Amino acid sequence: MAPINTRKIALCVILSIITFGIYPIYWYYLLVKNIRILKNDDSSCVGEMLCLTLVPFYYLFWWYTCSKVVANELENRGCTIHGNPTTYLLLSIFGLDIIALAIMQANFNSLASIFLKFIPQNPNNILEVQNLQKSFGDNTVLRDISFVVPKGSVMSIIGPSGSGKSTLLRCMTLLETADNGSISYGNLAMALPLSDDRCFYAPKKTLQEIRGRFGLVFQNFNLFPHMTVLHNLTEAPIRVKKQPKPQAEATARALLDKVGLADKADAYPCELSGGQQQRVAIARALAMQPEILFFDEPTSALDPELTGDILKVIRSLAEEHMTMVVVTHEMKFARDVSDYVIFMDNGVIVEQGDPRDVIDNPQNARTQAFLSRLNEN
Amino acid sequence: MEYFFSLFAKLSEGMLTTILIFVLTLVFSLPLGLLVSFGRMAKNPVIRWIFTIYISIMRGTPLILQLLVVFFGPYYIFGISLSSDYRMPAVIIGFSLNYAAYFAEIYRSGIESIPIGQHEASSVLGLSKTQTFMRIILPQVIKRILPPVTNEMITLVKDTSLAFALTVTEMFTLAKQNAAADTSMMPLLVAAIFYYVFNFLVAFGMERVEKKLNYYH
Repeated sequence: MAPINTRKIALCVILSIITFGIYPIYWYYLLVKNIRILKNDDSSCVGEMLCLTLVPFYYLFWWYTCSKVVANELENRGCTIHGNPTTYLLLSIFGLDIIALAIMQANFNSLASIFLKFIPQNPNNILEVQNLQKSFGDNTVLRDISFVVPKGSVMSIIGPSGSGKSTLLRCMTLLETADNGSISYGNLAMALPLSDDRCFYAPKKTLQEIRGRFGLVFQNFNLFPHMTVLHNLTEAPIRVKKQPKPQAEATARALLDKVGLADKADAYPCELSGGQQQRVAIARALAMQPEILFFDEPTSALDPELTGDILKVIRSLAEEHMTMVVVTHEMKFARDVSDYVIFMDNGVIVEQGDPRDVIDNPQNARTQAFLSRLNEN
Repeated sequence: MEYFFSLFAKLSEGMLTTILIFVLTLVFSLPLGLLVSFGRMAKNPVIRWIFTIYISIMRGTPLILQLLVVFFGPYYIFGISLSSDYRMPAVIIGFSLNYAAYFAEIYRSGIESIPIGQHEASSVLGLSKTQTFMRIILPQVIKRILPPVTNEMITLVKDTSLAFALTVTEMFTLAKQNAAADTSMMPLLVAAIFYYVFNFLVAFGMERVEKKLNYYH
């Protein structure tokens, strides 16, 4: 049998003690009541009544929470493929939640081993996405998305609003949970389709490791307003990567110099222009030394005049062979900088390939319509 | 004039109790409020429901009634008789429970007003949930909730007079006693001065804190 998570067991034992702790109190009131009856004194039975009413509620609450926790864990860890969740729920209702959790843990370990055995199609690929599907309720946003991003390449994703570009990026950066398909970063699988109708996510520890492999630059920067620019850059390396402060600050200053904002290290984000803020955001993502950098329409919230600065920074990163995925509306930029272009519409990849082919000479009618409308403006 | 100053001396004894109630209530209710606001925003519907009801009851019934329940409840409900030393703790418990409910709603409004992008940025950078809350969200929440918290603090200063319900002799109780004994308005005037100065100091102090946090927008 697989090893059992001792922390979880300890938590269960403590919770059980708390649960059973209600018993002595109950007995105490029964005793008090009996003494009162012996003394012919029935003045205060409210406490007794309260206790009698509370105990079943307490248990109901405990059962409900317990089964919820177990159901949640099952959901998260995809144990459905190994056994029937009802068994666990029944076990937990009869107070045998420790056993239920132990079985779950065993199943979880076997699930984790599937993720450990993952082998990428090509070790040179930083990111592999296969048959990705995502829907919000009835609205299917991503239908069947597959692509790979080789090391050192720049990929652009273009397409009309609502075509699922942003959702795709959010699925790859763990901000949304995909419904089905697989996502993997190098030798680490983030999500795998282990059953017919859904995919399962890797254990939290692996997900945390994967988070260190990518960076994301948001459309609206999302800098931390209460921290200086330098602090914005050093916060994550210090807290997450446990880098010593001087080292993190040296890296941060070097990065600020690279994006042309060395003199703004001690400024607050609100003192910077939009273009400067976005450059800080790029530096902040780079400070975590990601293997791949995602850009979610990095210039859409900026003046046309300021977009140049951002694109220049991205270009210089491309020259350094930084692996990047850029969602953009800047066709000229996509054509000049990227090695590969994906045109998305309505949740599917309509056309993909070399940027000069797709943008200058689109084959698909939908792509032609989109690009010609863009050129009109 | 001499009478006026002798009143100051008399009432300042009660003022100590008032300040004690004020400070202890803040010390307990501010963190408790944060816990209640977490309960109020919990994903688990049962927990959320429990705390919603708690807040609803605490805000929906008079504080003076809650004080009486806290003080007499243990005896009438559980048959536990407590000594009269329990008066002051009962006042603090009653005030803290009540104010925690108000603070919880203030915290909730503050926490929910932080853009989702801040959570997303922290998540992508790999910060844990605790780190995100303590380092990113809470500092911004504090700045946003200072004005409503100041409001509550000023209300609390004035509410301390309700401690008379449990015969805790705070400043206003003394003022009323003196007013009745001397058949004079003067003690009430002195009480008003005490309250006003206290609130002025609270407001002034909080304004200073707000200014200090004004280094960013």
